[in-house]
Amino acid sequence: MTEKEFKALVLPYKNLLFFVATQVIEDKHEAEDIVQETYLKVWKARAKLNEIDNIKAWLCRITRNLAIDRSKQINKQKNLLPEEESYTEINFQPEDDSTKSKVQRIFDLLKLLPEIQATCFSLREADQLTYKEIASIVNLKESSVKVNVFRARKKLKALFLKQEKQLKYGKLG
Amino acid sequence: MENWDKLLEKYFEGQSSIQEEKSLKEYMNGQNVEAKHEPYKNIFIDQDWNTLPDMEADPFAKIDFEVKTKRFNLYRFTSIAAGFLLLIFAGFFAFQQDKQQLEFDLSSFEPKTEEEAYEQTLMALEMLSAKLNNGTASVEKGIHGLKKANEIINQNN
Repeated sequence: MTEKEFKALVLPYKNLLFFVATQVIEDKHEAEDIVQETYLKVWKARAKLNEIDNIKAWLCRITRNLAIDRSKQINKQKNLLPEEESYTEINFQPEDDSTKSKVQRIFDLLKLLPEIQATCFSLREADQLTYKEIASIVNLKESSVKVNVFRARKKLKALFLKQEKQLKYGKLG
Repeated sequence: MENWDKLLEKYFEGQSSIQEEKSLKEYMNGQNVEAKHEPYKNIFIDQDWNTLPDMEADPFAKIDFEVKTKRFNLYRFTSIAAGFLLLIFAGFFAFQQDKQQLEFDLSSFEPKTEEEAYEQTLMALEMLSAKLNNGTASVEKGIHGLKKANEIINQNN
């Protein structure tokens, strides 16, 4: 496989992979590094690319696994520093997000969900992947993926309704 | 006309198909959304997903596409390995030939008859004797020298 063929095959998924990485790791530069790492791994295994059934799902799986490993490393390092706060508590703060795009608002709310739910939801909504494809990415059973998507939708629905109410209440107040 | 309430329920229960979800998205992103469905509009993103956050860095930054150099290195490695193999084989065959030659030469010196064996033994003993005589001559010469030295010492005394 030539450099040109390789790029043509994997480059269309660049933003999707970046998105998958940012679901696990918030830091933009770390997420970019994960995508670069994914492409390096895939380039090294280019001889086997013909054997892959679903290249998109396969790329997403590699990216997500690398991101999870990196996230664990980062958390471990944070835990080694006793004075540093390892996690920032996420509080839902209603804000005037009229300037934000619809996608951005969803991204903000997805951060409030467990990572697995956010990932399953995003892959289903963003890329319209089947439950089977998502299951192969996140290493879960198809039924578990369905449950995660269902829970994510329920939570998002509740969050959106809450957001609407709070904004309305805030405006009235 | 779709029953949007029913479809929405299916969607939130995780029971909707991709096709049904597509229909819902179209409806929610259209102009005829019923007031009761307005709160759910934000969940159904259609074209906006194409505006996924863009990765600015070069995604192939870690890849060395210089395959040619690697092939060249592989070629070099193969040539060196082939050279070594050739040397090993050449050495092995040369050793085999020497061994055969050595075996041949030794057998040619073996006596065929008793007379020949006797002659060869005599020759060997003569050679040994000559070597021993040489040794005796040297010793005699040394003793002679010592005697002379002794005589000179005695004369001086």
